[in-house]
Amino acid sequence: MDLKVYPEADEYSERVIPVAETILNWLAFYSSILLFLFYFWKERWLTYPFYETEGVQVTVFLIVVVIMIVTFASRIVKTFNRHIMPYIYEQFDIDVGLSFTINRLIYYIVMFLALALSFTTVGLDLTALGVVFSVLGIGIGFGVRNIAANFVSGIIILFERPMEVGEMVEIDKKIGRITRIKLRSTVVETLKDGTLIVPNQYFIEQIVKNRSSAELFARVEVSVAYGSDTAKVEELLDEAAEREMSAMKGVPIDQKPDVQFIGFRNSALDFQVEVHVVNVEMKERLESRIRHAIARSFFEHGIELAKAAPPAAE
Amino acid sequence: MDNAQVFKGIELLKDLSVREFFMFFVYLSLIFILKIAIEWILKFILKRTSTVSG
Repeated sequence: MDLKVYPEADEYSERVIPVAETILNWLAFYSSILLFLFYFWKERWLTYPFYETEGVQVTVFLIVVVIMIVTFASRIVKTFNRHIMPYIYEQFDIDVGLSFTINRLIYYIVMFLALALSFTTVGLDLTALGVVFSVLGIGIGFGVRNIAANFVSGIIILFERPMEVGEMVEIDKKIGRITRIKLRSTVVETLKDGTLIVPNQYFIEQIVKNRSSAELFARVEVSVAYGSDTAKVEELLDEAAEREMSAMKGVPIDQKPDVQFIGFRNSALDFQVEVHVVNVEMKERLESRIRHAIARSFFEHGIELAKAAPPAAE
Repeated sequence: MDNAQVFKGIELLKDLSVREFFMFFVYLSLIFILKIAIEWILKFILKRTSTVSG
C-alpha cells in the first residue's frame, strides 16, 4: 500500500493545529475557573468578605473574577494580534517592524485598561498606585536610561523611517545592509566585518550615511612624485580605469571614469579615479583591480609614485 | 483591613473536607486529560488526512 502526501493538506493542518490548540487552551483554562466557582459555590468562604474598602466587599469570588478579567483581556488581545491584525497589515502594506510595534502598543494599552478595571473592582485606589508607579518610574528611568533611550529611538525609527530594511548604510566606515530593525537595536550585515548590532540611539544621534539613495562609486586615490607629467598621469589613470571597467562583468560602461587632479602636497601630487558601480561587492573588487592596473601602467611608463611623507619631527 | 475578619475567613476554610478538596483536583485533572486527548486525536486525524493511502 502506497502512501501519498498532499502538501496542500499538510499546509492546511499546519494552519489549523495552532488555532485548535489556542481554543482548547482557552476552554481548559476557563473550564477550570468555572469548575472552581461551581464546585465551591455553596461554601461560605467563597463569598465571605475578607475586607471592605470604599463600599466594595472583597471576597475570593471577586478575586477570581478579577483574574478572569485580566487573563481574558490578555488572551483576547493576543488572539486579535495574531489572527486578525495580519490581514489589516497586509491591506495597508505595513511592514513587519511597524506591525510588531503596533501589536505591542495595543497589548500594553489593553492590559493597562484591564488592570485598572480589575483594581477598581477590588476597591484599590488608583491614585495611590499612581504615586507608587511614578516613584518606581524615576528609579527605573535612571537605572535603564540607555536601554529606554534605545527603545524610544527604535520607535522613532519605525515610525519616521529614516532608513528601512534592505537599505545600505555606512557605520564607522563599514558599509552594510540593514536586515532587521528591532525595538532596541538594528542588525546590519556587512560584507566582511560580519553582523553589526547597532543600538538604535546611534541612528538618531549620529550622522549615518544612507548609501541606498546615493550613487555608489569605486574610488581610488593615488599620489605621484613631484615633477611627474600630470597630463600623462591623468591619461594613464583614465586608460587603466577604462580597461578594468570593460574587463569586469556587470560594471555600467555608459559613464566614463572620472579622473581628477585633487591636490598638491610637499612631495606629492594627488589624483583620484572614480568609477560608477552598482553594489559594494563590485566597488571593492573594482578598486583593487584598478590599483593593480595603475601600478602596472606607472611601472611601464616610468611614473614614480610619491614616497611616504617624512615624520614631522625629522 | 480588619485582621480579625480575615482570620475568620481563613477559619471558614476548615469546613472544607480533605475528600472534597481532593475531588476538586480530580475533576481539574480530568479537564486537562480531556484537553490533551482531544488535542492528540485532532493532530492524529489531521495527519491522516494529509497522508492519504492510494
